[in-house]
Amino acid sequence: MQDLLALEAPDEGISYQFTRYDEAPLPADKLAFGSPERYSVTSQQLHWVKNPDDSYSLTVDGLYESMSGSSPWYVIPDPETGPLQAMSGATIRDRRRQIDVSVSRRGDRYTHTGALGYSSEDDYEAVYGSYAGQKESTDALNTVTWGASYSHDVIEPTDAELYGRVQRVTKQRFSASAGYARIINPDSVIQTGIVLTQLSGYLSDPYKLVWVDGLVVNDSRPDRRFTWAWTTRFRQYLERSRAALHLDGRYFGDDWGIRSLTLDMAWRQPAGEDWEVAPGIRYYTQVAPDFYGPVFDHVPIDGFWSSDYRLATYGAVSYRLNAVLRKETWSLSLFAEYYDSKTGLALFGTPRDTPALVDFWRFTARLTIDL
Amino acid sequence: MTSKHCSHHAKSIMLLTPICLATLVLGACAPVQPWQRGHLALDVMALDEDPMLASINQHIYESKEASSGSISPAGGGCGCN
Repeated sequence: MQDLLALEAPDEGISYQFTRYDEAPLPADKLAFGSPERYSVTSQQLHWVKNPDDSYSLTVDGLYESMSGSSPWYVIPDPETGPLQAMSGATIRDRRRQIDVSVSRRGDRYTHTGALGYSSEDDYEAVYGSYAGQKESTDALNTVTWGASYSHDVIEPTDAELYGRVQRVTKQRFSASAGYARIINPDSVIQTGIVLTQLSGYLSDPYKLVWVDGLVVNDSRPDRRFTWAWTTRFRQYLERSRAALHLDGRYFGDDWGIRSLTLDMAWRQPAGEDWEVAPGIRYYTQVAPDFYGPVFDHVPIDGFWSSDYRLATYGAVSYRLNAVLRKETWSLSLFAEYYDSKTGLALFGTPRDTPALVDFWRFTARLTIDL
Repeated sequence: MTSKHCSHHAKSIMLLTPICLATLVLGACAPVQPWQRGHLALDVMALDEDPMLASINQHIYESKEASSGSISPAGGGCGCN
């Protein structure tokens, strides 16, 4: 009988994935000073799956990432041209290493998965763990999922004394999730679920500054944040074209005042005996929190302010194409994406001038060998 | 209309969109026998994205947008900026 979600053992094998991520340079007419060249990231990942017996699966994931480029620092008002972006002058270089180990146990119509992970950068360290469960109804038409995770992060900003940054701070994240999936008819399925997350500790960005009433001061955000995300996914098989339409939607909100909507559509089309081609489009729109502004003419009485462009009201469209070649004992996947963000793409809220909104290209290639 | 009214209106629309979609689709459910589930077993119909691609996608979007969270619990953090 067909499982709605993966209750069967995953295929044993090893995968290597390479990703190159390049942000477009900041336009010259939006640059106050610093380098216009933004982030480039190279990621290499290994994924290994072993099934010691019919009930257990062991998965190990490793990641090595190297980053370089300049980062948006703060925004400067200019009455003639509008706000201009100050960029970090020197090129930032950092590396990140991450390891995740997970164990799954499958039983009669259920799966339990426990995972532990560790991520380390020159200035950031995270230790985390998670549990996820799922149970299928006896007719296999319905599946419920649930889970929880915890992360403890330590931030030790570089050049802290030189730039007046915090020396060593921590933050914690606790997250709980629940979901429900159902077969609608022989050609379609739907899944819906919610994730609630509580963050506490140092939630500001230690590398960002803000122009407040003529002074340039450190980014300042509340030290607690409660978020909720509701996701619904729908799959429709189209027999005539042997393809599947994927529709995903997510509504996100938090007690900082951020709201966002994500809509994602993909078309997965088999081609010939071995190939699959999947074009996709993703639309994202968010509304800024109350304490966001490119610059602040007066000191906010609550003491919170940020000009981090990632908190702005804006919208983004990304276009992607994935091609997969599947052979008997190996597969190759090639993926490309272009992400374009603009205040003019915002569906809701009142966008403000945000000079640092990012556009990027990304390429990913993966080789999987069955063992 | 003030920006506060506009913001409230925006939040309501963003919340109602997925509620309407879920209600419409769940209302159309019908019994499906085991021998009718061949199409649902195909790779192209998977609910979960490929795990390695999903991992890097989630990492990139969460480091560039103010939102996070999907169906399953979150993983670890990073200092990406």
